[in-house]
Amino acid sequence: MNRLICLLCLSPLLTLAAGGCTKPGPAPTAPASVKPKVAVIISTLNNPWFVVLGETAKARAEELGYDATIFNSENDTAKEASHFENVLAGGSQAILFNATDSDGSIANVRKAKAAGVPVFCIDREINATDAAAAQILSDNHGGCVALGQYFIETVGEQGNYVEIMGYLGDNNTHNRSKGFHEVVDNYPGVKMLSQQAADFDRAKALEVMETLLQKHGAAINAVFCGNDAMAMGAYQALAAAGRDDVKLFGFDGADEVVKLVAARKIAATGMQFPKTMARQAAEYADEWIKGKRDFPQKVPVAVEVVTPETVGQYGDYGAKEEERAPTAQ
Amino acid sequence: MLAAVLWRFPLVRLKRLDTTAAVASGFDPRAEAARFWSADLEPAFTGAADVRETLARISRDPSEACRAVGRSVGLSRSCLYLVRGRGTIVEVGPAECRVTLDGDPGEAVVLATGLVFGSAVRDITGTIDPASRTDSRDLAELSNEINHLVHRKVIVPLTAAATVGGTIEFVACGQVQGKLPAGRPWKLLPLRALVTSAAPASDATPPVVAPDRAGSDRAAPVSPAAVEGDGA
Repeated sequence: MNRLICLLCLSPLLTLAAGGCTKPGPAPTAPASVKPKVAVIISTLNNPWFVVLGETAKARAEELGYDATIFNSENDTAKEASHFENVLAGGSQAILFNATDSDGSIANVRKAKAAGVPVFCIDREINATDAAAAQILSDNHGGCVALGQYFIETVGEQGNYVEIMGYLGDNNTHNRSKGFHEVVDNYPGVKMLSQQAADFDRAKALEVMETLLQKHGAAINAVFCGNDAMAMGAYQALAAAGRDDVKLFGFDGADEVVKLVAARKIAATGMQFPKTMARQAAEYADEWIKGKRDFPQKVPVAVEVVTPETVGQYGDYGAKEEERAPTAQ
Repeated sequence: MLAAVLWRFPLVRLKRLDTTAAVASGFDPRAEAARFWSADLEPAFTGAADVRETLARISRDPSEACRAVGRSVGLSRSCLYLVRGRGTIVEVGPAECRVTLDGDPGEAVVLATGLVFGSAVRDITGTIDPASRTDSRDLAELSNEINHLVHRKVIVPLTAAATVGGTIEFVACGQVQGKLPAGRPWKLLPLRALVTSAAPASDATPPVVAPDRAGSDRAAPVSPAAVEGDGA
């Protein structure tokens, strides 16, 4: 990730340096072999899961013959808007887009559409069905219903838990929490002691978990986190407090969490298949550029629960090669 | 005066975290669930595949079975099946009943009778377009309401009627991820069930029947829910 960020930072300098070395004279015409551009705009690269999402989209676009570049919005809609401006001015033919905010990102997508540039949303939904060319989205609600069922199997029908939610401006946060509660709230013996947001951020989740441990101490039997980065932060806090008895649940399918599920340090996570979503978005963009227009507006991607019993099927942000990968219908 | 202004225009508005998008957007998931039940789901029952044939197909080739008689939503390794069958109830548990299928007593399925979760019923007909709502939270609300209907219209009456030795005709929804689970019967969610309790032949309980929706005197087998009315 650092290498990627460094390259992004250096690219304007390299461009200037190259310009400085160019001999004066008539403007050179673009060589016939110049590849068409595709932009990959990602909400944040401060989370390995999103790095995998962005790099897979970029790699698949490059395989399909495009010059692909990743832009990091740093969870800031203003930065995201600036990236859209630059990308549209720079002549990108399609945008593979992981939105920062379900409502706040709509205007950017509409701007691209008005400029004739299709946007393919990956993982995060925008609350409009007439702006993006297609949206390829995890079934967050269904995944967390399944995770909630496993939570009850594991924790039992008596116990106390805390919930650490993601970024409140994102639909995924609410769909995950709602799916989980649809199951768990049916069991009156299972009580939520606290529900706090940590913005999908590992460091914030570490702080939140430390505070929750101070407040509730030994009463906490389980922790449900809205993504794996926060689960890792909570895991760090629990480990530092010597609380290996607390059952921890994440959501994403991040490689380090899958490994901790295999080691029985984390109870379960939801596998979201980021590589599948990213590849599909790049392939849709390629098809658009070649003339296709009739894409499904929303393509749900099933989420599977990764437990110590099923973890052998998973790894590297998806199902292992011998398993059948999700297929488009 | 100031108090009145602050009451009308508070400096801070508290909003519950569980305030749903459905409420915010005016979408009525309960009404949509009722419409789905009568307009989409019940008419689809006539096209349900035979459960024994479906089991055989899935055992032979899950991908072919899914293409032929199943439904996969979006990008998924799971396949949904709408099946019908008939058999004998051989075991009744707190959250399921086990049924051996007519024609092959060695073949059994389990009908779930506990709480209903997930989006399988919403997605089984293929009539709910994921893009029909701008906010996917509405569709999550819809699943929840449909599941409440399944519980009220089917699960509750079935739980009351199911007895070991009784015969049952059912339409159900099943999900398979990859292959069928080894060593245990396929678990199905019943969407319609007609139970005839076990009793001596001379005074056997007749199947639950009720006038059809058009109000004619013709008796038609219905889901046990019809016993308690529409249930909605």
